[in-house]
Amino acid sequence: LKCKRCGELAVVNMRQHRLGLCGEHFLEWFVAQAERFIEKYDMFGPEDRILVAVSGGKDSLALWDVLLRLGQDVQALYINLGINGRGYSEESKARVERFATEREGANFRVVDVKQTYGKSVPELARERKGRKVCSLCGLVKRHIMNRVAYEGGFAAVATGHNLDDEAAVLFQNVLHWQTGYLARQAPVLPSTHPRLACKVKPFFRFYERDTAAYALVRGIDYIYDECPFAEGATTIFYKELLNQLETRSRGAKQQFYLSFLQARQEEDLFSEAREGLKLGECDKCGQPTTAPDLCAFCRLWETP
Amino acid sequence: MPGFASSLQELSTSPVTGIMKLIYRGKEWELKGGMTARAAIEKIGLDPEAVLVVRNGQLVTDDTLLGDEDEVRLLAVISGGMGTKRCFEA
Repeated sequence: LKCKRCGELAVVNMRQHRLGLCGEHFLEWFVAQAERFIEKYDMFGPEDRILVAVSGGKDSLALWDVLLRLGQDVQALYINLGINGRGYSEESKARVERFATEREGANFRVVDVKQTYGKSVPELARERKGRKVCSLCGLVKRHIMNRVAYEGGFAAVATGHNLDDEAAVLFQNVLHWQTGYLARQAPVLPSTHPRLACKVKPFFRFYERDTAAYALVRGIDYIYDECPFAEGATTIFYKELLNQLETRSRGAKQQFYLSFLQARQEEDLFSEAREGLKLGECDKCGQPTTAPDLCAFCRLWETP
Repeated sequence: MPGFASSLQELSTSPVTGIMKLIYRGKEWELKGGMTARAAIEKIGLDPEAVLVVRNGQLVTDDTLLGDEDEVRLLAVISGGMGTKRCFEA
């Protein structure tokens, strides 16, 4: 396959776009596309300060890299979850540190869950039997991201979610007809409360294989192994199913997700489910919550 | 998986005689050269959509013809994000 721009040998073949590109033109294309998505979906402006959540994985490090290349005022946040299985947290933190030392202006802050709140995520999960570790971990991360964004006065929190992440979640929400989630799943979640940070996903239109290719071509050393708790996770199974569909039908994942966004907007789907959410403030931490007293995060730390 | 690997060698119909090494998540397969990366991926039972192909240290597209003595690493691209549930629901 030849590069569509220069005719040299292509290193990526994006079948969903019928586009093959060489390394140099792929990197150029990728950054330009990300910039286009940020503008088109009104995620943030060029002068805004952005908090990028980084895990040490390919998507978040690629996002940090792209935002730096775009000249955005960006600070990264690494949350140390204390996952010791296969040295996961230490390994991922090392990738973040290495990334930062190799790039000028790459600043990051670490929030250590155990040091800050007294227990690591696995310790918390052991106490909260019956609750899935991934769901608990997600809750902890979202709380910390929002807190840091609010305290630091950031315009938005950017995460590295790609189209495969979004399509897998959509698939899950459709399987269970979770209309509340279907109403709100979006590449931009605006702030609907003074203490709720705007959340954006600049990579939401990139296929996961393309963010991986970007990381590879850019020489980003990311953590390749999956979190030990994520093995066998339902989201991964749904991604595999969607990839099988994609293999049979080029562009299927993209069409599934983007057509959903379009149909929801044009036909005003799930609008009732969207309207029902009223946010108050947690009695303990002050963060927004739909609960009458303590938010879900603060309830986690109460005696089980 | 030596049994599986040897059966794969037999499956190859190409006249090319070299043996290439395919590596994925710590497992190795030996296949005859002369097939595309996509065909090789399918032969070992993986989904071409879910891996990137790195031949002799270089990222290549899956229509690339793999040759004698090539070392091919397949990188899994899937990771398990938790997705987009709303932050502050009770």
